[in-house]
Amino acid sequence: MPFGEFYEDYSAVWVNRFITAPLPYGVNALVPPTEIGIQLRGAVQWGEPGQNFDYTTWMGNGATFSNCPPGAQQSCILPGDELNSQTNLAYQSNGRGYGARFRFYPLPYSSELGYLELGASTYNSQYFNHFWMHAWGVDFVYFVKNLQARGEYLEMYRELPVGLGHDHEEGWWIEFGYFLNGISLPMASDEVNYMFQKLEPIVRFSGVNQPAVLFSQTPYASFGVPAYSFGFNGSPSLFAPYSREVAIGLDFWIAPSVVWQTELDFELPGKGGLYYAYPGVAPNKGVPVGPTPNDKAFLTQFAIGF
Amino acid sequence: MTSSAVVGCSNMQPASAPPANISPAERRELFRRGAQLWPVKCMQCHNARPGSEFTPEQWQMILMHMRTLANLPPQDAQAVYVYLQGGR
Repeated sequence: MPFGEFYEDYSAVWVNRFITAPLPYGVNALVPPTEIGIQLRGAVQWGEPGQNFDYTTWMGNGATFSNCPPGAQQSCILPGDELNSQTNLAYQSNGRGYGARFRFYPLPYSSELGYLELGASTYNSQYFNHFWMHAWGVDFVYFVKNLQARGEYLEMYRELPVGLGHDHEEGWWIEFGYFLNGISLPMASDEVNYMFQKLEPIVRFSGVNQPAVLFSQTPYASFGVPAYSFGFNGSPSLFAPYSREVAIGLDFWIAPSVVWQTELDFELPGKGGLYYAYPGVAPNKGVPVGPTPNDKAFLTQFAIGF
Repeated sequence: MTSSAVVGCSNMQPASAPPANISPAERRELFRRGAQLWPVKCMQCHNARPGSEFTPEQWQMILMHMRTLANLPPQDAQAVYVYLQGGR
């Protein structure tokens, strides 16, 4: 889906320098990941080679929120954010979604300043047949020599049923990676330097603010029984009202698209917020909760591109 | 948004290959530009592939697809095509 840098360009497992998605696009993504529809895309060179402007406009079948977390024991009335792991299409919507993405490339390919991409995206949709959802975001990509930097900020506004008002969530991520190619360790043998130069250390900071969390979004959605979603990466603070994550990683590039990735995640939840339960399940009002405990995760993955 | 779409369509060409009657100097310039583009645009997502892996017709088809997906202006798609053909 052409919304933001991560969905459009960076989410493929052999392209993403990390194993996991940043928090705004994790298992509880602020913006639903799937659409079926049509796109109109194009690009214009406005200056020197590489100084381009491109656009993507699209229309799809609308946000596909799931109405029930997997494993839930009850009839779920409120839609959650989770993609249905069985169908990948989740809850059908009669609404339409439409959006646009624009990117601006200020630097020519020959510039010694590097490669810079500035993007902006919008997404408007209806879900659950008549509730509206709006999202927008800005992003950047910057490469210079061995350094790669990417970042994104997005906001999502969503109407909630049964008088719960509006849900306003915001998320961001910023990431830096540095290829060690071309750097030699003094005193090290050629074999060690050969392996060393295939490494890329990476670091990413991401966060989500969702002051009021639906109880359906928590892993304890079904009467206290954990109901982790498909793709859950072992980070309970993802469901915290103010989740934060610092991820550090080390990629070993065996070939340009063959990589062994390792990642260490530190969940650093911020302050607490409110949880809302399903209608009919007491308490049907905001319940103050504190930040979830810190958590850590270690992941490793072998990925092959094409 | 509407105006940019119109401008974009006016630049559209049916194929990613450059015109047959361009001069050798222009072809060299396209090759040089394609060499700059290839690592920035293509190798962000794909393996480095030799130009000999596909025929010129296949590369044209691939570039038509990727030009849309990667939002490449026609000049850039032509430069990548010439680069993959080794400047021929």
